[in-house]
Amino acid sequence: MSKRLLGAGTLAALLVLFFAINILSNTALRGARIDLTQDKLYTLSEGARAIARGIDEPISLTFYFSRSLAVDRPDLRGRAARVQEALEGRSGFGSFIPSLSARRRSRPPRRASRASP
Amino acid sequence: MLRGLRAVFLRELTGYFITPVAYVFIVIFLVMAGVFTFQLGRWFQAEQADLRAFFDAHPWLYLFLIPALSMRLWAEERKSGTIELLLTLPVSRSAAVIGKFLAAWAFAVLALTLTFPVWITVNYLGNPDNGVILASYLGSALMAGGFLAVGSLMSAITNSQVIAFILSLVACFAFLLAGYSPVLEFFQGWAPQGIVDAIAGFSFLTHFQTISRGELAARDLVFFGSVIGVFLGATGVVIEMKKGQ
Repeated sequence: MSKRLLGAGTLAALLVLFFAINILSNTALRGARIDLTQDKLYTLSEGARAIARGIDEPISLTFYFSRSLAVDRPDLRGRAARVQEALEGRSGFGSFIPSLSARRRSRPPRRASRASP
Repeated sequence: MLRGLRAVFLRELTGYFITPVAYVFIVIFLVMAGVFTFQLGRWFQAEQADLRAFFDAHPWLYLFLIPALSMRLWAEERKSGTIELLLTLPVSRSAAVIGKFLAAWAFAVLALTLTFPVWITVNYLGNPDNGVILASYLGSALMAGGFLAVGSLMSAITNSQVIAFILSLVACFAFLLAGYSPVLEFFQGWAPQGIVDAIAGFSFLTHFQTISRGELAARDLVFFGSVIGVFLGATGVVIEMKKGQ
């Protein structure tokens, strides 16, 4: 009987561990990614960087995303999250925008980020 | 701790090729991959130099073929009684669990690499992004590993291979579509929103699609790694619990 109890406990612990690892890695490993595309599709080119550096007036980027419409589209939700991370400069790809006011994520139905380089 | 890992791995891997399992699996996998790509995926008609149609079929191919591969991992041993022999051999239990899984995984990856003519074809006909193709192969291999680990647990739970197959199929289907409404609606009624969001993040499909776009993110690797680790761990626990019953 105690063997069963121990086993059940271990299984429950594994389940908790599984959730913990993934929730943690979702936030902790945000920016850790490699762009494997040959044309570097997900990386800003030198030219784009240079242009962004050369602009001396504030750039305002507004990102609209409806959480309620994408409720059963995890692919869209994932993409929106990545766009948002890029805008907030946490993606590792688009960190050319120095300071963005990162608002809380859970504000439906739209969110906006402002940049002032 | 992992004494005998190599022996279990080699024994299992050769086991596939001694029986017709390997040949039937590989042939069916390749034929079905071709059917999905060229007939259903309309790869030639699309006239695009990528392997999207090919890789988009993989989750659904694996859904049926991987449980067929994993169902025998433990259920067969238990049915034929050889599990007693295996567990009394000087092989640690983790080595047996990991060795069997690695052999099945190596076999699945072998079947996957045998699809290389598609890669040659697309490079002959056009000028595809080979970085994306490499990433897709990697993602596909990882997804196969995830499915196999789930199947390994289901095979350890039951003595019957048929039940193991059906349980793995359902579990893999749930993992594939976590985040889509059939699975989410099941949890939405009673689970807190945080849990529902976490489950939505467990979809094999979205993680695979992210990787196969050519974007290799650490969290996708961690996800598949944790699926494999946790399900193999659970397999070991279940085998220990069922010992002597």
